[in-house]
Amino acid sequence: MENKKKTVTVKNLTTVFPTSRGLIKAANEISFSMSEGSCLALIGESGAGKSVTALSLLRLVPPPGRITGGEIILDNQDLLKLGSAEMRRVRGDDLALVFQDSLSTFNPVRPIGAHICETINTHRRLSNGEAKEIALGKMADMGLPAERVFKSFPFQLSGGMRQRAALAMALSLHPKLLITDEATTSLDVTLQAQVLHYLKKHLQDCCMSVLFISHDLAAAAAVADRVAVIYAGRIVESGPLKEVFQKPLHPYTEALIGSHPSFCSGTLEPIKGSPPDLANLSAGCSFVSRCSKASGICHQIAPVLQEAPTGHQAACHLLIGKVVDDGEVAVS
Amino acid sequence: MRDPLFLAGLIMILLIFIATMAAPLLAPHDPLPVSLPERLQPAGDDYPLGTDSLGRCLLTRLLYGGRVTLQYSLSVLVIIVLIGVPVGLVAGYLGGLVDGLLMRLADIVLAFPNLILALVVTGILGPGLLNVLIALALVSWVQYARVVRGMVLSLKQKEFVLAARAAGTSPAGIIWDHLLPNVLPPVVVMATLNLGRLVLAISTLSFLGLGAQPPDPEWGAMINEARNYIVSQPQLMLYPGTAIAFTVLGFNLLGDGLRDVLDPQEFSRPWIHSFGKGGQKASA
Amino acid sequence: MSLLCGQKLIKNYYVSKGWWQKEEVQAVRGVDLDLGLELNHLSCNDRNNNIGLVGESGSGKSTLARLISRLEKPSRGSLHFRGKEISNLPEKELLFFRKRVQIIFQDAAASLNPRHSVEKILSEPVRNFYPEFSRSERREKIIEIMEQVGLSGKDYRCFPHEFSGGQKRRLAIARAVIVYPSLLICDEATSGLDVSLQGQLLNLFLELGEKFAMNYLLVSHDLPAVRYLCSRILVMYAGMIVEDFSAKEQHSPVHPYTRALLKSEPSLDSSFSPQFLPGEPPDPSAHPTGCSFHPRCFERRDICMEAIPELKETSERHRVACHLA
Repeated sequence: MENKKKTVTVKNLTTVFPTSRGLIKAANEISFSMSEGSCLALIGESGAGKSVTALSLLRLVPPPGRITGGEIILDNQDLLKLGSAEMRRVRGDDLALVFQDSLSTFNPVRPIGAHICETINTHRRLSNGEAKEIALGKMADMGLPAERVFKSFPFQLSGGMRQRAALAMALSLHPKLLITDEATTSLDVTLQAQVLHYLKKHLQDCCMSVLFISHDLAAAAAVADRVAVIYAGRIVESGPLKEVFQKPLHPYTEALIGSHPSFCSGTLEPIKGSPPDLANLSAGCSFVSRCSKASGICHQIAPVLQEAPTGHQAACHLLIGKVVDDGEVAVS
Repeated sequence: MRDPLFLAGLIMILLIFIATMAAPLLAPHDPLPVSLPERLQPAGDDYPLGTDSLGRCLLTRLLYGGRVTLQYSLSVLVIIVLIGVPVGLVAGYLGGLVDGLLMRLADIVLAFPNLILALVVTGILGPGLLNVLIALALVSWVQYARVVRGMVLSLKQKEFVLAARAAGTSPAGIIWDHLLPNVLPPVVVMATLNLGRLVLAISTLSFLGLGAQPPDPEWGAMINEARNYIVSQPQLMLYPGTAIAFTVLGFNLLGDGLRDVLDPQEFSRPWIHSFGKGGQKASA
Repeated sequence: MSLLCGQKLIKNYYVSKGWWQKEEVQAVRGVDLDLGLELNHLSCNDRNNNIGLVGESGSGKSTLARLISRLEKPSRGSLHFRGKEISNLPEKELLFFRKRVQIIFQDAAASLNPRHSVEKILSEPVRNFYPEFSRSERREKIIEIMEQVGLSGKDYRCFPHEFSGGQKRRLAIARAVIVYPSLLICDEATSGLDVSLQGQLLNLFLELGEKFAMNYLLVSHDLPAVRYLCSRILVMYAGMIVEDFSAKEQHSPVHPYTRALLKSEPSLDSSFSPQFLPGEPPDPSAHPTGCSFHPRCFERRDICMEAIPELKETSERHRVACHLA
């Protein structure tokens, strides 16, 4: 898998929002890369910077926010250096985004099919018949009764069907990178399972990458092969799904897993306190106030992402101690 | 408060209020006595704006006239808000038969054009400002009742109203404590915008000879009296006309500005918090 | 005598369709429910008496929650609170019931009047249920309850918008528990939250339940949360209860829908691939004939399309509405 072509490489992406209380780094030096046919789950609590990262990738950060540095390399071109017309071409064509709220994704007064065909025609010169064929094909791929959904208005479909139609629209142009921002969060479990199933199936069939953004660890576990955990604008841990979930290196990841009701027997041990105020971050690790293992150094110096021998990275001072004390953790 | 138009409206309205309420102190003459020898004088030291066709000081009559217009439009407003808002609250919250009856009554009133109904009422009761006031009040409460009822219908589905019911609060308590405070800000905006229209309506009725009766000064009536001199002495019509336009504009600016000031958005905290809230919503 | 007991509860809504037609939407279709909380249950106030009501959106679970908290009147059926019929009582005779049964909603921010201070919000139930309290007694009570739910008692002058989302939920809980109800109905009260916040709230529920001898009816679509807090789980589908089983005694659920629900729940185990139910939840204005689950059921027989299965006891503390059970 490591030999596969990298589709997306993000390096040190930083997005800031100026506010009355100072500059907020909503995404702080975010780096990751994805290869063809892989799915990276970006996991974090609300306000951690997940959605800002997604919008930054599309260069759709709402003003007054702006991207101040970094690179987003998609297909050997840096998206941050493209002009706005070129960027518009990339959006929807190479990069597609699916939102949480599928009701507002579609224009309420137009049939779903017309909407999808329009998206296709913006980027490709195709006849109406050809566009319709693509749209119907993608909807069938998503397990939808294509002919019926094509003619339906958004409000006539259930949430799960609408979300699958939104996926079909995003996939209709064979994007290289699909970003799903909390796309299954508001769905019921049975419908969520449907959407996850079709997403995973499509991922295996086509050569694309998926950035699966969610606060739901379990949903991420169902589709992703790699995980990045984001906290207060920074990636604090990343690595292969199994490694991260079974042997988390960062105390935050550990605590997140511990607060999930389905994975603990006995009493839940949720993380105490609430996420830090991004305008008022201390010099040290941003998790320090909620961390049960914090020591002196954590208050003073912000840790950087370090590689453990497994290809699993974490930004924690304790990691160094852990690797030295207990070589097995790092090697296994 | 940062809106310059709102500030302009506020200043205009304050100016008019102070000038008209202080008319007895500011006015150089008595508004009523007729002095034919001094009729149609041009502006000068003695008469800052000149005199009208019966030799009365124009500035004095303008100041006293504004008093009448403002007093009456405010009284009408108070009456219609006091009728319209409670009717809307009760009809919206109780629903059912009460709602049906009150709203059908409103429909009947709405079926008559406002001014025509006012003309009919004054036709029956005879001309005079008090009758104009009754006539206007009779027809104008309906729009308040309708708007308030609409707001209540959506508010009563809100969870804080359900929570208040679960907390054992009586219907009267819910209307007073939960619905009224949420209904009032839009009503204040509406009322301010409405004041401009009421000033116009009172002036219109007076112009038609149904409102203020001579020799009482009133802006609409003054325009009516100046009709015969529109070519030779246009300022006679221009001054009260400008005063009406100035007042109506002032109320409209004030109302539009209030709409922004009283917007619940003002309740939310600075930008970063709405950002954080957006994030929470995204996970809901 | 059970605390709250409903028989054949039905709630229909009418939605206008076109100019003349009205369409009947059946949200709750004949629910028999016995929240079997004994009158003197002071000794057994742990998780053993909490009940979970699970269902997908549109299954009628929120409507049922509003019916049994008497925020809505049932269209038909009866509701008994400690043996007294309450389904038709006017609001002012319901005070005694409201004092014992409280409800909190999913959207805590919307359930707090934005123009009221915390003191005003929290004193509302106290004024209604304990009119004899003086102003200072009320304030004492408010500060006490705020500290119980994990807020700072000094903040009683603040307004809801000054609190974070998690704190607003705590405020909503404080308003409900300030009168020490016997039953707290939580309508999706932990849904849509981050796991850490959800965990904090679930633990707060347990702690308060123990402290105040209070039981919960947790209405949710989130099975893990329900399993964590509750011992008995009611599963709702298309306006009916299809299964009623005990979570702690490891009863394996029998109804095909419940089993599908459990199977579609994702888990952290990455080798696990969620299975899903085909099809869509039924349209509440046009329920299928017979068992409303039959169009999506893998095991349907002919009888499933004709007769509505009754909820019957299959073993001790286990009721299922399925022809195959």
